[in-house]
Amino acid sequence: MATITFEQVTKVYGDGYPAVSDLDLEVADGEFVVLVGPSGCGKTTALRMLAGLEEISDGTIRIGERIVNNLPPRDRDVAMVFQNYALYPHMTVAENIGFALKMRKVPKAEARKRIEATARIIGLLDHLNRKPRQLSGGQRQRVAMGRAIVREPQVFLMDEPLSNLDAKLRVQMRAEISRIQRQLHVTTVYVTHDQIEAMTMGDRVAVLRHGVLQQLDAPQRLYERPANLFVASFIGSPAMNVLEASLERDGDGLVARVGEAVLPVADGRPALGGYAGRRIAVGIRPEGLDEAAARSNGGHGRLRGIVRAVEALGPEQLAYVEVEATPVLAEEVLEGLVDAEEAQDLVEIRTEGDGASAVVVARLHASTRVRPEEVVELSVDLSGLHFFDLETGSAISA
Amino acid sequence: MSGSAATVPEGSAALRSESSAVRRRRLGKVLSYGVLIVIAIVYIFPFVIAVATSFKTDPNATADPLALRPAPFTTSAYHELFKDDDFLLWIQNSVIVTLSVTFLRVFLDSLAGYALARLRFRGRGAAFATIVAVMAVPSVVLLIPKFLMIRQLGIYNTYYGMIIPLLVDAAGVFIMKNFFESIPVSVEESARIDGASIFRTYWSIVLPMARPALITIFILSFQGSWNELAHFIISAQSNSLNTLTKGVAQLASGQLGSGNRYPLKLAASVLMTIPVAVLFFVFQRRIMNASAGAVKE
Amino acid sequence: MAKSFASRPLRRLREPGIRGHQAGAGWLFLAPVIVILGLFLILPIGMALWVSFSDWNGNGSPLGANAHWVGLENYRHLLTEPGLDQSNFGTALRNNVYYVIFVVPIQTAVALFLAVLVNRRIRGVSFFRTAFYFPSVTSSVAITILFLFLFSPTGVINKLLSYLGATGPSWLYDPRGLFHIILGQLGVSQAPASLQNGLFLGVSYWDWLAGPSVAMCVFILMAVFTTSGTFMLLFLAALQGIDESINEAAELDGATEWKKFRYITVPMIRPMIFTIVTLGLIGTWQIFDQIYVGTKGSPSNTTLTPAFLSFNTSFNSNEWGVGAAIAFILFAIIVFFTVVARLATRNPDRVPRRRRFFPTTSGGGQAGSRVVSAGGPR
Repeated sequence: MATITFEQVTKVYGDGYPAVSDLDLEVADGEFVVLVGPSGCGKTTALRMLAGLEEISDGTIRIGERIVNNLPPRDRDVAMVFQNYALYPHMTVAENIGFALKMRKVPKAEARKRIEATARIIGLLDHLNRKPRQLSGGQRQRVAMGRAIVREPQVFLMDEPLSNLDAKLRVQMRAEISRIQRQLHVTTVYVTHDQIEAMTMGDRVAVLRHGVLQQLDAPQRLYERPANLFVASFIGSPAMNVLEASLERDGDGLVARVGEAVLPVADGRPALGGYAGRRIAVGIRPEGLDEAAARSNGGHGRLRGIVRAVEALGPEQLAYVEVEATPVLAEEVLEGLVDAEEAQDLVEIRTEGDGASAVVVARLHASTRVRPEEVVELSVDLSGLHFFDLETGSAISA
Repeated sequence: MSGSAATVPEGSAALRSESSAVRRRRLGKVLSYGVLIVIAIVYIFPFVIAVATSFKTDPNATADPLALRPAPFTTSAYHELFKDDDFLLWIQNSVIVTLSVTFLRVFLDSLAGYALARLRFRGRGAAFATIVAVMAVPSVVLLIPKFLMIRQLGIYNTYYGMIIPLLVDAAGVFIMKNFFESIPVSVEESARIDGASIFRTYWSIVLPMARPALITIFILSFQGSWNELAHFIISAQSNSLNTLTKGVAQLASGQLGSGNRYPLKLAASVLMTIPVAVLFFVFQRRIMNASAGAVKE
Repeated sequence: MAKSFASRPLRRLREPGIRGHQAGAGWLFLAPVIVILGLFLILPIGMALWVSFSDWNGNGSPLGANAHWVGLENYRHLLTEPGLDQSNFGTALRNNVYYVIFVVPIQTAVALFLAVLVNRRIRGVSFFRTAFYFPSVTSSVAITILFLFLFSPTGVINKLLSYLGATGPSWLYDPRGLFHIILGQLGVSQAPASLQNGLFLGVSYWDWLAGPSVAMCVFILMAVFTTSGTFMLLFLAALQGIDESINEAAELDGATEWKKFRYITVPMIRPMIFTIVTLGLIGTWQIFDQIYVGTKGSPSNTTLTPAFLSFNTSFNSNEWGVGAAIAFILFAIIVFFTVVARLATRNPDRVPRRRRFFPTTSGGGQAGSRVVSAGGPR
């Protein structure tokens, strides 16, 4: 067991492009940390530097007390699960799992015992003599896990281990990996581009963008207190609605004016005071919007718009509502959108009205009556508003 | 086809035109089979004749070269081949040289191919460029240079001189390099993390995965060195070092103009073709793919 | 070991780094290949180059006192000095030129024809592929002996011809040039004076125009017989890279078989055609084994080739300098044709550019095919 420390770690490739810059990250003993971000954000590079598969350009990586910068992978006492599992195709499951033990000259009898114990954990005791090609995708994934487990390493490294599985199996294996990690209590760094995986598995989640750490926090805090526009739009699905607003004083308090709508700012946000009279970005989670016609009295805390589309999802529905407002189309917002197609759609919808109209997504109860092309009034959960500096993209802290 | 035609309710015109199309297609098929068979006969017949003639007597081979059934049937040509020990010696030399060359080549090509594909070291690009450049030098041009070097090194007229220069073929290195590059890097990375040394990774992980490429190199090397002639002409002089190709070549050219002794020569040819033919039929599919795969995008 | 290094960061510079000893291992893995290539390819070429500039006669070492620098004398001797060596060299060049001119187009066409034939989904097609490819794997020695027998004066071919009521020539003993024979049939049996007198490389213009001798024709047929299978496979790979839907689209557009071949197939496998012509050029200039086994240059030197002449001049006449010079001239010829073929392929060509629109054609050795074994089938 060990802690992991990244200190000012930078990776620059031959073309001068920094894949990771000045990464500071500490993983506690036995902790499960997820590195997440869109492709090309540097998360895999960070993991590979930790594994010893990639040289470090600058900075220090420690495992426990040991600086591992120049240590070859085999001397780092880490085990890694690869995206494509990287099983040895010509070896049986037992040989795959036992290969590392053989390399470490573990006595045969003991190796046998450990292989069997591992096979029990991953539930492949009956398949020890099969070759990888005789296994299903899920089973292969388990073998890859088993290969890591049997080593009893100080650190588990996992590089998108579930991305080759189908959706159902992925959910199942998610739970399984979490269970095994908790059971073995091995420090784990897990890389994924899937924010749901990140949110459900990690003790803490590190969000990266362009090689820079954006925020490192517990999943719930990440959701509730995104540090900037990128994290705000990356975490959560559907993504947070981000609209331009002008912040104005209104008596003692502050109001954010979004188009025609006026959103009173809840008390206790002193930092916002400095932004009075300026334009800022306001973020509203889809669940922070509710259909308000029934309780209608117009005016404050409401957004009015035309329903453009409705997606029924069983217990709830998503309403895409065109409101009179200017969408924030900053790069970090667009990059944060998980689904490229969704991003494309949003950009198209959002730019259609010369920036004067924006489409917001509202997560509504299934019983709510909304129909396409109808006017709808949405009440905004004012306590759940997020405010961002339009220039820096950073959250305006409380 | 006729079934579907029968369900067409329209007049006989439609029927007739369809059946004529069918007929034309069938005719085309018959025609292309005909052409294929004729060409196949042209390609196969010489070999059949060779086998048949090797069982004929000299006068009969001259008088009736076309006969596929030897009359009288005799194995005297084969008896004569094995009468003295020369032919056995040639076989033995061919086997020694071919097996040495083939196995060592597979090993050396794969070592070099792996280094070029996967290991990072300064000078790798230059080394690869050199190998590619060398590959382009036509082998016939190298006869005199190789002879000079073999003599200079004092290995003329030895197995070493016959074997060592054949050990490396740049094309084999190239094929292995391409293959290794097609193996996912993560498998090797996994082995590194598991604690395998570089040679261990190569030997226990990569090499077993490269079996198809190794077999390809094996076949190409076996065929190449078994059939090699020019190099053995310039690397050794002594009759005791004659390989099958060289010995049979002398047998063939020695008597041009005198008695033709075709049954004997053809018997020798047939025998020397057998190992390659066996290899060919065993690995038929792979050989055909390998030859086509020799040209890469 | 590395662990102890890590605890002493001052010695970091001497650590092997995360890749362990890859550099050392890399060179170690490459060493046998590099050493052998250097020893038996690169150094010898230098040595032979020296010999081609020397008067070494085969005694002692060419690097010793028996060899003297003579500059370009050997090349001059071959190219500008009338004599037996020059006329042999000229004859060998002429023979090989005709060999190339006949073999390359015929083997390419035959290979393409065979490839198209066996590219169909018909029963037994793999049998035919095997049959056509088999001559390519057998040794040149065995095939040559077989052809000596087939084309002997009393051999199979003449027997077949006699059934057709024709009398075959004595093939490998017949030095008459093909073009001379045809001209003879037309009544021109004597050279016009203008052609009789001119000499180029010691060979009269009239003899330059002789065409391949009847004996050489046997070797031409043999080359087609043995190499068409290899090239058939290369063509087959290219053909199989063509997406079936393109052919189907052409069919819907009303193209006949021939038009499909002419306007779809040929343009799409054009790069492979270039490759095969290049391989053919390289291979045909190197013909050696067959001559060595079959005729040793006879009759009347009409099957002499530069490769064999180079060998013979060195090993049998002990004129090593001249022999080496011939080898290097041959080398230059081969390099020249390879470069020309490369340039021709690289030429901006409408067809390859258009091919980019067909995403499925990237398979099996097509555009810009790189030749792996430049030695090619011989």
